[in-house]
Amino acid sequence: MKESLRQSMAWLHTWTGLLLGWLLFAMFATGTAAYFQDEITRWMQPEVAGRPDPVVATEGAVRFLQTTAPDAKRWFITPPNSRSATTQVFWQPEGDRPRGSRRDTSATLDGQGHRIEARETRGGTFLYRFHFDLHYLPVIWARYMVGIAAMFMLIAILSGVITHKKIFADFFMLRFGKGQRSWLDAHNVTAVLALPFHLMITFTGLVTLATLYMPWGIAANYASPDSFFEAVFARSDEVERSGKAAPLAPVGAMMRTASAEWHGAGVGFLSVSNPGDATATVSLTRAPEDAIGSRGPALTLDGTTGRRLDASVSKGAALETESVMIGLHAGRFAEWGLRWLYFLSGVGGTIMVGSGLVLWTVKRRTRLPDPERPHFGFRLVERLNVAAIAGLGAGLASYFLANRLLPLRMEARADWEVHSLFIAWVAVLIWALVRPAQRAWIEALALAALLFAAVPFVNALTTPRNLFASLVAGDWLFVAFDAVMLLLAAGFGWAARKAARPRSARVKRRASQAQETVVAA
Amino acid sequence: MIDLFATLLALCGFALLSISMPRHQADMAGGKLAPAASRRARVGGYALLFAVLVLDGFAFGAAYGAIAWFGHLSIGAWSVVAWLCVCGRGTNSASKKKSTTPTRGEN
Repeated sequence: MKESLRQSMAWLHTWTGLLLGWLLFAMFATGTAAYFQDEITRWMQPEVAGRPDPVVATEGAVRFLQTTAPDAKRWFITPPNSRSATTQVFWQPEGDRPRGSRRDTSATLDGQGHRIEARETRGGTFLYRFHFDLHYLPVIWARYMVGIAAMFMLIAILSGVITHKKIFADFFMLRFGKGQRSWLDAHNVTAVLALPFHLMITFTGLVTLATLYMPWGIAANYASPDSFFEAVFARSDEVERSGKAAPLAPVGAMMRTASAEWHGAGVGFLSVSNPGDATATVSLTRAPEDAIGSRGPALTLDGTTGRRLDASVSKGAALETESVMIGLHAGRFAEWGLRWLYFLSGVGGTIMVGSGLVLWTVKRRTRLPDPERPHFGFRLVERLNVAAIAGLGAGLASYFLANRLLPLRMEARADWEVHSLFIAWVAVLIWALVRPAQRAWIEALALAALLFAAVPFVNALTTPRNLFASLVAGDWLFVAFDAVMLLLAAGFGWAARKAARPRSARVKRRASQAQETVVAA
Repeated sequence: MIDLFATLLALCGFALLSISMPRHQADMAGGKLAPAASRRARVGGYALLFAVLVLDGFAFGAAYGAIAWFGHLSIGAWSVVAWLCVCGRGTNSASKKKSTTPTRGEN
């Protein structure tokens, strides 16, 4: 029998959606959180406050590097932007000395160029990196897995559109308390109403790592991938130190020169080659928050005179398109309003993936030969759903709680914050495997709700920056963080209540039916 | 502020579009509308969505405005869905008459 197009697309949608759905859920959830990665980092380092001026901070960073690594080959400086409060610096030591620990060649500085004494944490950056590098895995494997998942997602979106019979008729439909129909409604409403976003984010996500997934274009035209990157993203050539010492020209003036060149846009990144030498050069790259394109123009200046040496060549159409697509994905250009729109659309996408996963089981449960004893595949999906959805929630809340509760001077503190995320996640997985599925849902969702609700309270007990103090101080970042935690707690709590209800509702219905039969008799 | 206004405008646009659909008229308009009124609501709804695009274009420029527009549309449409869930009593009435078979295929 020949299947209709819609039926075969439904098959494709079901299986591409399910097979890596759990990974997609984690990617969507952490990627959504990463829209606020700078804010999350600020929350996770409550010792750091203030809004440093990027120019003053960079001058401070240069002073720090001049005393810490005066003879380094290169310095790299990321000044604070409108959202972050710290300057990140790292340096490449002279010669081919084996790289020591990161702490030996990098530092986080305050607005004056002093090393920051704040708790060790990976902050929001971890969520951002996890979103495509995962964790405990070689990065390259993770990126292939993530790429396959994203490709499946793209297929699932397109086949989903074809499968969906009534996109316009059901546009606003969301009916509660109707079992499978409700899940389908929720899946449709979160998918359809932000469809342009889902398509954009999935496609541009693939573009960010396109040269990894499709290396053949480079392989056919360049001797090696490195020669491609050199040709396309030309970095200033390495020049041997002359040995003639010369002081670095004021870096603040250089930043102003670059800003003027870019019509007022700020500097997002600086690299200084051969600092302290007569051959020193300074490369400045435009801040990513000042335009959609993620690869901004660069300007190279003479380090001792500040004279302009070189500007990046303008990109061809393909590279420009790539740059804009990556920028569109990462949303670094987005101001507050747009950033929240990105975040909310991402939340919609996360719910879309989650409801799709649940829908798979809801749909099949009624057709099981023996609903009390489902087959292995069904049980596996059911349990993995609990672990992926409620488990990740519990894990993220644990990550934030660990940031507040682990001893401040603990060895490898940042690593243990990350470990606590996975410990909570695996604990929920084990719990889901040993408990009856229905109970596992209720308990895991309730646990996630409790952990999220605990975050503002633990924050209030362990730091002076509690909700009340933040409100009084007008510290909206901390207020918003606490509010989002409470909203997530409410969301998970509501889901736990919903999960607890069907059974009691069924029982009630059965009881009333029985009563009716008795009355009728 | 512009974001709030644009989202509200998108909400109104989608509310009008939902009014133009017979199954939502009980909730949104208190009863069935005449076909002419439905049509007016539909045209008005699309016009408002377009107005949001114009507003975003002026407020944020063509490129940023287009991106913001999609975001405002999504939030506006979700708000109408939420409104129908919370306040709509008869939302399900249209579907009750129909079968509740899912739209997905065999799987």
